[in-house]
Amino acid sequence: MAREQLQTLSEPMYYILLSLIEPRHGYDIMTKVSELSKGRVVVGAGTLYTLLSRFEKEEIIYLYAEEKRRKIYLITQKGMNMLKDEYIRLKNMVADGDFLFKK
Amino acid sequence: MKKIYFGGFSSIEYKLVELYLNELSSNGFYMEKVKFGIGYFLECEKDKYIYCTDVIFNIKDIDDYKNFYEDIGWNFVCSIGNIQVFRSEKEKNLPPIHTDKNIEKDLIKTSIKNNLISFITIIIIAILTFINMDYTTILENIGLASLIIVLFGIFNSIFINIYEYREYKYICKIIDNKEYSKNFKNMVTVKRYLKILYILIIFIAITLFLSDIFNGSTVALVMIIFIAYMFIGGFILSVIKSNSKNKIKFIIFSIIFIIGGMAITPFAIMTMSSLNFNKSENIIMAEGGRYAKCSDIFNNATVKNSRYSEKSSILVPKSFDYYEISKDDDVVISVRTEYFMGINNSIAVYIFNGYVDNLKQKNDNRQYENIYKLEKTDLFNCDKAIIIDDETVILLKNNEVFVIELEGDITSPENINICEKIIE
Repeated sequence: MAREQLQTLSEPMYYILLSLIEPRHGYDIMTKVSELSKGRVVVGAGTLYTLLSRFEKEEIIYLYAEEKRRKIYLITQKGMNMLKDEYIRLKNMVADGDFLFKK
Repeated sequence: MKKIYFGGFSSIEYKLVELYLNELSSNGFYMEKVKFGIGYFLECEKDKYIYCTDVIFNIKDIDDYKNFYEDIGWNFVCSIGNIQVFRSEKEKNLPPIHTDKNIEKDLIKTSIKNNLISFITIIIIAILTFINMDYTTILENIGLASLIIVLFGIFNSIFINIYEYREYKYICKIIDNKEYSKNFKNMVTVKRYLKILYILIIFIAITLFLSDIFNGSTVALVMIIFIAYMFIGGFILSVIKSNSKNKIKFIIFSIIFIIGGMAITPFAIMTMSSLNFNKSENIIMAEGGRYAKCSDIFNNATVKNSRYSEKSSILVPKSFDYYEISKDDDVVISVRTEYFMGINNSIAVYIFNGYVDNLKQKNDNRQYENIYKLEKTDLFNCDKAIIIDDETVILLKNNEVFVIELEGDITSPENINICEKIIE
């Protein structure tokens, strides 16, 4: 079930992966996500914990380091490809809808 | 200090716990701790804290999980079963723990699935119990106690499944709309009464078990020892699990526990049954009781061996099985009486029918067609009588059942006379 879901990324998933381009731990990810989305997307602790465990299991991210019991994650090559695919998909979707505003 | 009953919440009610705690917080109370199902609350300024609950299944590293939440700003307060309670100052303005509706709904679906699995297990246990149930179940309190526990288990399981499903729908609505209208006080009261009901039923079951032990039932004693073993062992295991992060230690203890359990049970049963066997050997019975004796057939019979065992329960206050064999000048006589006294006629009828059914079943299993010849007769001065194999008769009179086995044809005038004397 999880595998199917990960073929397209949900909004929080997309932003979490975006923030993990650089090594980050839990709280850092949370603040970065709202910074990147200009406060539009908020990720709660539980949602973040669930998604990080799932990403780690699917080898989309990996445990980069552990500092003072804080786990720091970084995106993997697989995750990077996924993120880029998603970016292209979203861009195409936007481009396909462009004519709505060109009238 | 304010004390509130805070036990008995099922996993799926984590959201209600959250709403309840936030309501208390807005009234100026914060939770200090939960001990034995009682929540202890202290006063503070109104709306100082905000609570958020999570529910966990299959989380391997609980410390890592708690650290993660604490790092973000949610301080761990306590756990109630699978429900984890977190708190933070309202001024921190943290986003709630769950911000993704689908992930949250998936999470609580697990709880529903777990309930269904336990329901299936209970149904299997119930089916096995009812297949094995016959008149012997009600002869001892231990049988009755198991029956009560199984029946209660079924009703409880059905109730919980329906209740949890309704709750699931309701929680989904809360997740979607963030709206609720539920009277928490009533809910907590219902939980408290349910808890009292549980304790009452467990108390009844334990009393029944203990009464059996005082009546000399070894089975009950073995079961009590086994339950105590499981309980204490489970407790020790949980302490080890919470105190040491060393998984190997836990696994080794679990293995010792299981092997110990497997070794102790047969050993205990063997010891107990040998004790019981010695006790029932060669009991000299008083004259003129409600059982057959060899001397009823042959005046100067010398009893070589006899065996007596007794059982009692709430529904059948007295039942015994007495067997006697005598030998004089190469003439061997053996007689046997089984006696059951039900609290009323319908219990006696149930035992009577159950006894006959058991014999019929044995007859079928042996596949000898004429060994047990069952036929009705009104030769004996009683309500119902069935003769088996010409030698044994099962008699029902008011609330009593007699199974009498004598030498020779049971329908001979002498034997009928003996039987009538016994059941008088």
